[in-house]
Amino acid sequence: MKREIGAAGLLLLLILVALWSIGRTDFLTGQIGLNLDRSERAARQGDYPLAQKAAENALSLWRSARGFTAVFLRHPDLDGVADAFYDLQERLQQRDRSALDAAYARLRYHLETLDWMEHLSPGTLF
Amino acid sequence: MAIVIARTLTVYFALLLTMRLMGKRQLGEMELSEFVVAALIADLAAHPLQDMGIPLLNGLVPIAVLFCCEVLIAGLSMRFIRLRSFFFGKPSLLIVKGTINQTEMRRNRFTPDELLQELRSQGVTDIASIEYAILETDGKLNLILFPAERPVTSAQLQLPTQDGGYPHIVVSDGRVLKANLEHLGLDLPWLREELKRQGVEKAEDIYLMTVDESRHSYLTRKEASA
Repeated sequence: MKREIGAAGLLLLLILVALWSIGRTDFLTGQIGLNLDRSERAARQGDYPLAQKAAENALSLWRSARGFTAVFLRHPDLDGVADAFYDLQERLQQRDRSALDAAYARLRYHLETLDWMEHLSPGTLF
Repeated sequence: MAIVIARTLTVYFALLLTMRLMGKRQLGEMELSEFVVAALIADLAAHPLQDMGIPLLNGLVPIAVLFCCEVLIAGLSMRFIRLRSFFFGKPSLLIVKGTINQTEMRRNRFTPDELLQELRSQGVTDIASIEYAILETDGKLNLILFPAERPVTSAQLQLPTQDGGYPHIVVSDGRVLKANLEHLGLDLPWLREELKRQGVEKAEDIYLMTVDESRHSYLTRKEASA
């Protein structure tokens, strides 16, 4: 009986950790998304230093969560987000207005996919 | 490189612990669900070791979940008979009173050739001598012969028998297992005396020595090293 209780406890713990992981991913991508919104607004108004600062804040949030992301999320997905971040930074430094919209969209898509893949849905399940 | 070694060691010990906690049953004695879990676990463990891009957790979590399910199902099946038949099935009587039960044969997808092969492997060639042939839930076919066909026992012949009990290993590859000696109520002086009686100088010269509860011993000397 002890073994069964232990197994049920472990299963419950794993489910709780999975739920926490979903919440943590939601929070992380949400916070990064807010900074990206600020950065994009500033870039549209031509305030590139503010846009760069907000993008750097988003990147530092991403970097500070490395301990969590490397353990819980698929590494190819993380590479996709990192590539999109550095692409956005490059466009912001070049002040390449024509390519910025695509760079923001690309980064947002990677973050949304990352978040979506953590949620239970028929799409992610099958 | 260090990561590969660390990940492999982690998975190895996680698997070892999982299999240890799941029980001691041999592969051939596994129920269907146990076999599925064992095969899945082996495959799941391999992926994070082959691909460093997969978090180790993606290999360990499924192993832990399968382990939990296996332990819970096994535990619940012991308490609830209906659950046990649902998960593990029921034994099928393929032969009843010397007659093949064709419905059960079809239901279990057992062909006459396979049945005869199983009977031959158990030294039975005459179906008419079998009272019951039971296909167990782990896939084994057990036979119960008609009383007239069963081997005669010493009890039936009223012959005296000697039961030596379980033989314990007391010397293994030259090492004396004191705990087993003590379990039999014996000690080192008794062992030395027994070795002397059998013409052996010291325990280091013995490869295997067993003693049963009636103090009957068996020993094999070590082969001379090349």
